[in-house]
Amino acid sequence: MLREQLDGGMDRREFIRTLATGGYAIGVAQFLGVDDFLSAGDGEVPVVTALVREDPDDPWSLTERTRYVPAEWYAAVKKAFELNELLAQVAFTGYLGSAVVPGSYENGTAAVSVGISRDWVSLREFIERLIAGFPVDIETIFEGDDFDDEGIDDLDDLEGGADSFEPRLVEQAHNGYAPSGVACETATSLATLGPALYHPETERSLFVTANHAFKSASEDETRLTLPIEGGDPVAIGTLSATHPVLDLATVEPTGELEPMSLIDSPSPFRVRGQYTRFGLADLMARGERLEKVGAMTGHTTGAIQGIDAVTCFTEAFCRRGQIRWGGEMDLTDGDSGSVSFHEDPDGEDGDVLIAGFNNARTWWPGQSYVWGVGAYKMTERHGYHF
Amino acid sequence: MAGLTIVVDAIAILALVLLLTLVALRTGIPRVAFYGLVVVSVGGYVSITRPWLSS
Repeated sequence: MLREQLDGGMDRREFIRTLATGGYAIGVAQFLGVDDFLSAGDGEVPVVTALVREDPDDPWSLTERTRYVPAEWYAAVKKAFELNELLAQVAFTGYLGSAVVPGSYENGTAAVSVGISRDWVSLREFIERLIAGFPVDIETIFEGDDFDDEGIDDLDDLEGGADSFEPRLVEQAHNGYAPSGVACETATSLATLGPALYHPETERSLFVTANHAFKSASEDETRLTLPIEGGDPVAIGTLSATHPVLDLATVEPTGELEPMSLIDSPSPFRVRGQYTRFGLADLMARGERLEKVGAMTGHTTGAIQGIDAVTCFTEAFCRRGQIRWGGEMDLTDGDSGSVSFHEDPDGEDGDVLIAGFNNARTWWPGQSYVWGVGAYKMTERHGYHF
Repeated sequence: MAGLTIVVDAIAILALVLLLTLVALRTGIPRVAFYGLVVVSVGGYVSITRPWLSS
């Protein structure tokens, strides 16, 4: 019928009317959020990839963003998350950590990467039996006796020298806000200030940096200061909570400066939200890179190497929900506390979503990446969000 | 006349999309089918109302 109408001579006004009403209909459907509850086409499933602010200026307006991904890929990544959790729970002798490595959407695969201390055949067989045929990549990290894990208790000493870098300082305490990506100082060390962190219970914004920056400070040295280019340092707050496992310290603002959801750079980045665990898997499947702005090394980018990682050899406990990305040259002493981020594809120019924190880099041979806790883990454990 | 057409179209299409949304919710049809229905219905609506406008 429509065909006849078209053939029968659709005039220009009619054509425009069809286009306009059609566009309006789709607009109405979008406004109603029809996409969110309609089932996807065959072989696709919806996953929540990010928590994004509806209103960029309102950190409490977080909404879930979904994306349709191939069901086969989703099943593989979900299985990899489960196996990774299983490995961490079993925590057999020789287990140093593991990570999930999602494959591309075309392949619909995922793998688990496991780090072991010695290349024993029995250990390999045990892991392969445990994960029952799932793709696994077993890496021997410390062959021989040259690794003394008793000696590693201070991240500061091990992050490597920072002699060749000049810290990025705030030029002036402008507009009463302190952005991320610049140097901040505890009584004993220099770190990078993270973007504003929010906690739903207190409804307050907090400064945040790496917990290990406070590690060698005595208990009453809880002040965080902001060195200013060509001026006196400004006290910005006092330590309010420490989370050693996440390597996260929150600082309550006490001065005139407020935390800000902004990352300092020649063209500043505005923080619009954060990625979920599957959001990180999606980035990895599409080969997207992460970025960071550290106080020492500045703005760098790098590929994601693994997500939801477990790292058990840096401390007496295991760190969970870690992101491994970039290379060890991307981070140095003083960059801890910076965040890894990726542009928000649906946002305005300069809008970014946070992937996670940057806490340290590999200092052992055989691996090369920056590691830190994922933003989703901070939300899951303590409710914090960016 | 043109102004009235736009208003009537806007209301009619709003009702149409709401109806289709309810149908889609009940039947659980996939996204592609939903948008297909929207496009076909809009085409149908325009072709049905065409004679009324030209008269």
